[in-house]
Amino acid sequence: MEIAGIKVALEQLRNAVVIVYSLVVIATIVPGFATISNLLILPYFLFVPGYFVALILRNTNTLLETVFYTIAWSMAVLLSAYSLQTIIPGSQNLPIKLVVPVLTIFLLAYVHFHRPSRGVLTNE
Amino acid sequence: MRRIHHIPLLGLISGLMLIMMLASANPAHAQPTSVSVGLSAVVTEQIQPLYDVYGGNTNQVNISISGSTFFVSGTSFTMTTLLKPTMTGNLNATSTVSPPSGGEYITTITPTPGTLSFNVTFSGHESGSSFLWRYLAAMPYVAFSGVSIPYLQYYITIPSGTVLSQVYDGRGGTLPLSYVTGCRSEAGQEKCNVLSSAESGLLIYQSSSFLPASVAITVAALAVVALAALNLFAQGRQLLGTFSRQLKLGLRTIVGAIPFLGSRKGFRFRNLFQPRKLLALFILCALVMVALGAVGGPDPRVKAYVIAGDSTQTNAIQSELQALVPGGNVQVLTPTQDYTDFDVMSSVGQFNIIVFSNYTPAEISQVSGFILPSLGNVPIIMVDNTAVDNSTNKVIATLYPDQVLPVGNAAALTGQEQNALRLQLSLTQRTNILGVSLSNGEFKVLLAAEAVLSMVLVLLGWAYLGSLTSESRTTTDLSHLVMLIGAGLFVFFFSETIYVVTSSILAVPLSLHAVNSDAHDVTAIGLLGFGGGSTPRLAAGFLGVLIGAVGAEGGLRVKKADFALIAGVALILLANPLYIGQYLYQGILLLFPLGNYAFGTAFSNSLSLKGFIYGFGAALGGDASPVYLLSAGKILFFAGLIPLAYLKRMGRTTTVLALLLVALMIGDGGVRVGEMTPDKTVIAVLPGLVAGFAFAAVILGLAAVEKYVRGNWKSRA
Repeated sequence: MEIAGIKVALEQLRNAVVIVYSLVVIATIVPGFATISNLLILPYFLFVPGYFVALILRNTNTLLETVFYTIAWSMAVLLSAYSLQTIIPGSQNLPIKLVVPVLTIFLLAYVHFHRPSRGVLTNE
Repeated sequence: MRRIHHIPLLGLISGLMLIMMLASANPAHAQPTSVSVGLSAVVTEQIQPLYDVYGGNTNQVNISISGSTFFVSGTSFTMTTLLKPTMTGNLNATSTVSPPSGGEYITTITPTPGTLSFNVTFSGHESGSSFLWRYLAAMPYVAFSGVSIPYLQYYITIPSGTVLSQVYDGRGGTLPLSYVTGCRSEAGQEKCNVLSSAESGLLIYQSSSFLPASVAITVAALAVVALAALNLFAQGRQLLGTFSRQLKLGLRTIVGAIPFLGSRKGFRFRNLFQPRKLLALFILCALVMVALGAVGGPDPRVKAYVIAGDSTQTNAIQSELQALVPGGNVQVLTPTQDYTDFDVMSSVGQFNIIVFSNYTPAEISQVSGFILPSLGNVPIIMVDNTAVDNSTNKVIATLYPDQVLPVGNAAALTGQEQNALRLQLSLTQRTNILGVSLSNGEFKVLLAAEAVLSMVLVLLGWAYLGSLTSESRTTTDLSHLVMLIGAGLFVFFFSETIYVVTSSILAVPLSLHAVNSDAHDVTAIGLLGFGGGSTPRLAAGFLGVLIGAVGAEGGLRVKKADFALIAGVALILLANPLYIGQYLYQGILLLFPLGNYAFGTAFSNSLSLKGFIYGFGAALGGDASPVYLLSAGKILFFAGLIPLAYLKRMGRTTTVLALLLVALMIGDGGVRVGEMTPDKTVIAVLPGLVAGFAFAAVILGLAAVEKYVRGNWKSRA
């Protein structure tokens, strides 16, 4: 019971950190915040969005799986956004630094409010 | 409990059908025709539709130019066409047709001085194609220069009762049917006016029986869907079970009657569809290809690539070369057959000699970018002095001084030039490793065998990939994914290696990317009538994945009901005579091109998808330089590996849909194996894998919807 409580608290802490981190990334599109170091921004795109996709798809059974899928899904999210920008006229007005963090917050909300039920749908 | 799971799917089908009923093609509107004043030109194409599964024919085109000599500003004017015009009549005018250049015929028309009016008529032929019982008629391209012709009118004549289904402009854009207007009956034919925007475009016709046939097919497809739905109910399952048992019994009797299949006790064909056995068969096929090539190759013919301005000069050069080679065993290829693949063709040693002679600046500027950088692969470069502008010869002489053989006229060699060429040909001619010399006929049989094996190679390799889905149950998600990535990389690179090696040994490319689909003597697969071989490779790859995934022991369990459901819906869509059917038709023509037909909404959507795929490549350095080229097909192959790893995590219906999509993606990659451009494969790997996650997300989203729908019905029950 106590362990479950700690787990919930840690999840809430994680969510809070990610929301703040996302807001910081979004803030960099505002001219006044452009001085925020890129060293802080780049890891966000490499890890954060993909982590939540991996959580939704339950790709987090081991540490190796978590790291692998986190990076793979993050790249997929980032490059999909970039690729869509190249083919949709006018979409460049919507910066990736806004699109990806907003999507991440949606994913986070989904994970938080709609925890995937146990068991996997298969065609067996 | 079980039957109600399918109720949402039936609802979905009903919705689709409602959309089809609403999505009708644009109605025709009458348009006024223009009036001829001064000079006028009338182009009339006599369309003879052919309704077949696959085929083609030609239609006669008549061009009539008439008017007052007063309106011709100079002494003559020119007409440019893609068809070869033959003068059929003239009054107070003469004409000269220049040899074709870049596929264009330029006709100079000279009205007789001192006359008031003139008239000249030409005829030619424009090709048309038949595909899936529709007929595609290309509109002829006719343009004038040196004269202003305000009234260029296009007419078509078609047999009465022919139904115009779709109209596209010269760029493939969709036009309303009203662009073919003012139809009037003339002796069992209808003559219609084609408005200017549809010039050099495409008209698609269907017979008057197409609509009732579509309705009949749709009804049949609905019956299939209904049968699928019937399988949901106990009585229906009983009925289908009885039917299925009787069918199996009948099949067993037939198979038993066949000696080889029937008498083999203990042999189970399905046993072959195990991943390791498929892998072994794949490698075995590769070894057979290489071994056959090694003992039979290279091609006994001397092959020359001739850039010579016109066919007369090309034929004369061919005669010169034949006189020098024992038995006159020379094959001549020209840029009209293929020039964009010159790099690959020359890399596999297809050419013994290349000849530059009497080329026009326009012709050389079109092909030089593809040919000049790869001239180092051709042992003899013969250049002569017949071209008007010799600047290209100077560049070639500077870049490749050791290979250049300068002559006066390649079509009329002097004795000394003949001796020099004969010596160089004998020094550079490749020989068989066993010293065996096959005749042309024997070598063609070998090539045909290699062509068939090249398809089998793709089928087996892709079936191996599909069969790996059967192993997903015994491994973790990550292990399965990385195994599929590894296997995919191996299969693609190994297949491409075998294609390159076999082509090099044979000195004939097994296949090419952009070869003219009518060319039967450029590639090995062309011998079977497939030009570059794209379509059969796509079919082999597509079928391979399906066979491997479903046929393997422990493979995907595709329920008959789900398959029938999707097949039935696909049939309904394909047979639909309205907009959805047309869209699907456009999409199918993109995958099975009959002659570079790319048009309509499906084409523009495919360009968007291509752009999306290129975006991944560009982000990962794929467009770093113009040489570092991306291949959307290869990216698609590697992208397909990711959703393939997730097939067993989806619901039943999504699995079937995803399997078809993945088979199409990976099958399309199979086409690119024949391109033989390993550098493009290297570039495509990472963008492909990352794009695969994006595609997988969409498919997993669909699976989630299915899970929700099924779960919802379950909870209500």
